Amino acid sequence: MRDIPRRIVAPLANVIRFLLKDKTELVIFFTAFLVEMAFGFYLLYKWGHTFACGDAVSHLYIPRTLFDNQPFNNFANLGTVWLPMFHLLVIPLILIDPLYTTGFAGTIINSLVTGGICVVLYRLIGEKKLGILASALFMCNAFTLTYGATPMMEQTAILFTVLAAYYFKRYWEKDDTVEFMKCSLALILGTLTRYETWAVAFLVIIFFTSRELKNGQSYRVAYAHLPLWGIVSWLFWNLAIFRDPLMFIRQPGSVTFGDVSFWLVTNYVFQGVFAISGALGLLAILSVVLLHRKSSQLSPAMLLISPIILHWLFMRSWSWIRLFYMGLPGLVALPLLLATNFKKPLKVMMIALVFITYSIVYPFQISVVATGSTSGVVSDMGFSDVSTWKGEVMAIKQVTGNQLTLLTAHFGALSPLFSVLTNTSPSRIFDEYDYPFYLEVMEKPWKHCSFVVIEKTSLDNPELKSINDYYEEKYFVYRYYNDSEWRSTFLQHYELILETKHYLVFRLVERLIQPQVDGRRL
Amino acid sequence: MPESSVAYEKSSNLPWNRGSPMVSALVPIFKERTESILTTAKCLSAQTWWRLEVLFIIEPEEADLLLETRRHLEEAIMLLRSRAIRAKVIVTDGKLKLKPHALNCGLKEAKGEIICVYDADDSFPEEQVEDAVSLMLEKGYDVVQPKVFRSSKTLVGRYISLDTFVWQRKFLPAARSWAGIFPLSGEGLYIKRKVLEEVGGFPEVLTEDAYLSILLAEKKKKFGLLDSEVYEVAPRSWRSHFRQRVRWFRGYLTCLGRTVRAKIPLSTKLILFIPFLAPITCSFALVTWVFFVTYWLTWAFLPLIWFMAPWMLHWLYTNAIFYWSAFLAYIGNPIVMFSCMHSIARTKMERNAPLALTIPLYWIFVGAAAIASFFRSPKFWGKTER
Repeated sequence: MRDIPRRIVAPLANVIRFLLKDKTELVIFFTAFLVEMAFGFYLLYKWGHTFACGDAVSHLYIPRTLFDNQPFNNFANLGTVWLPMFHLLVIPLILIDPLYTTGFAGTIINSLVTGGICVVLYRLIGEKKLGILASALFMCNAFTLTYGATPMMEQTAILFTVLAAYYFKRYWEKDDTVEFMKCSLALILGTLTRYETWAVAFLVIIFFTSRELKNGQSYRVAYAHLPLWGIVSWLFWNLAIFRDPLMFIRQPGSVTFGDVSFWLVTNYVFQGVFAISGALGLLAILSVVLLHRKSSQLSPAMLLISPIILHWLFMRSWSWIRLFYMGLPGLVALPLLLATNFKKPLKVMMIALVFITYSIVYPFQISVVATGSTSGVVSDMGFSDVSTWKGEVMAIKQVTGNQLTLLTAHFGALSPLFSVLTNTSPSRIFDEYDYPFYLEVMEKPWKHCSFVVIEKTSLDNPELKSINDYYEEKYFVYRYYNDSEWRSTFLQHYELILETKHYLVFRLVERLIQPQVDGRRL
Repeated sequence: MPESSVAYEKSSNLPWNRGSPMVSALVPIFKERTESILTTAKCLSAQTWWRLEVLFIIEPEEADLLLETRRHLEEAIMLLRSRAIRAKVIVTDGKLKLKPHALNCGLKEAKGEIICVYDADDSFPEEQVEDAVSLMLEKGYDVVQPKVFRSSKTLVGRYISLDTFVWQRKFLPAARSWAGIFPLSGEGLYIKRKVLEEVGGFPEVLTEDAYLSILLAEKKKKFGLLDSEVYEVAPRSWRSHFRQRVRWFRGYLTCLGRTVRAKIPLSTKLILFIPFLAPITCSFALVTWVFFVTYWLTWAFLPLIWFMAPWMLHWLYTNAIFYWSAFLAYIGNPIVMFSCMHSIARTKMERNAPLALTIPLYWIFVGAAAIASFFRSPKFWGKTER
């Protein structure tokens, strides 16, 4: 028994020794980790949860449906719109109910991830004091604090991107393919976390291939495909599960490309970059110009800011601020990498310039921390919105109790909100994560569940139609509003028992047939 | 090869006070070409270790002095004697045409305290015997093995080269550091005579080298990896390599049974299971792959969800074989390719990187050999043509 603490501590110490090179890295890691954890507790105190938005709730619900969704526990529940890496990472923690319902499972993962980002940024800069400064600047940001303490995927994707940039820099400096393989490994994981990292992977391939061909080492091009493994495996996943390699684009709920002009998007980009880093963006552009001959520094920094460039070039609709946040490490690293080339007076001036340009946005950022929302820029951050939804789903839960309920994961992520915020097992819910049985339930809910919750929406909502097409014209919300025959049959079996601001809750008035699914009881 | 691995060692070249043991090099010969015999003989004659004897062991049908092989051997013996190395030809009793039987015949005549084994066509540096003996004496190893690389310029040779490279660079050091032992190789094997006698000589099975590892592990003998190389010419053709693989796999099946019964620690067993289970895993992989690919293509590309055969809906398939095959496809293949590319990175072998991309195809070939091994006699050697 006395050996137990030693048995736990010794391997942990070995892992830390393996991951962190020296005491400075240890201090950086734990400082960042503890700051994020503290911020998570602050969010918990202020809002009662750490969910920045509805997506954050879904990021805990999805992994739970893999094993707590009897009898439809299925890896296919990882789905297709969101990439799976964060969901897989968070699995061990969502087994614990308090961590699941408060969002703290994601807080712990992202706190660790933030510590990792700071350490890798420190290493990337390559100079001790400037490295520490880079980590500190990254941490002193309202969006870092927020996304490092909420169950969102951006922070995890940033870690893999920064890791890839760091190993790519080492490859460039040492001309070592093993370093490139490490970079590829980080990108494989990154491209399975956020789609922005796909741009990084393609950029790495372009840099690597052109460099090796230029050096006359064409056989090394055989290594160039490695960063694509994550992307290819995702396409295969989509083909294997959904019979369409591009289902992640085609499924209802995936990103749609609107008709917003390039100039409006440019406006979004400038707004977003300014909200995240002040005028650091301008300094980053200056750094790119001055570093154009220093490719070992410029190429990894370009990888870091590539998410911003990606959104600028390809996004033709709204652009949430968190999409640009993924470029923050690059915006911080670029001027500091430039500073490493200067001697003391110029270096000090550069650091001062970084401070000035970065801190002008602090009045805005302080309000973000204080209110948990952003004003004046396009953002989905809203802790108070989640708190409001919590009140609404709690009211529904009081009516439904632990009875089987038909919900939908579309339209404001109702089923995830219901499961997570009211601590209801996904096995008590019928939703898209019970596919294909879901089709049967939607067709005749009165045979399978006691309660049905329908979103209040307008008849001409275009999303309703696309979801209905996807679910073989059986989508119960669509049919409630558009199929009078089905609606009248439905109302013969169900009575309206509760109306909230956004939802109608119906209760089964008669029990025609006992449930047909093993493991679920009415 | 400019590689570095902690598990491979060289003696510190410090003088030791335990005498200079006699080393007997056993070289079994069967239907070899002139240049193959001379390649090994030249390397042995160039050795810096002076207390060396070389015993060429031949089958009775090649003992006739008028035969070509015998004449080449006499030439090799002349060469060795010219360097003051004792050398002679030993004829086996012909009872069993297996390499280990020939080695045991040679062992009876050998006078050395350390026995080493080489094949015809092996080439190795002139300090190898000295390095091996020094390491054994300095570190107290009972058995020592240098790196063995098989290669040639043909496509099959390049694949084998990649395969052995990963084996030597990744698996053997990992096995040695984890369990203290590793599966031995028949080329460049150095072992103390008394240790060999303790386990009853070379086990007379198809893969005597691998089998010997189990016996030595049971006796808790010390294994060492020598930082030196033996280069062997790879099989001449795909057919020849197929026969070699079949022989290895048949031998591994014998070793597998012995490992199950062996009284050795679990970690040692697990390490030995990795290669010895290869005939089963590789053959099973190939068979299930065929099923899986059919299933998968049917699912992904046919217009309706319609399966080609009823077995595709069998519970055993959908619950076990499917996941095993999916694991091989999505995890196994990338791991094999990644570890192969990682092994050759930073080395001269890096030029073979494009070939490493197709290594799963080579493993399909290996799978076919694994299936064939189940129908092979454990007593038939099958000469590898190089």
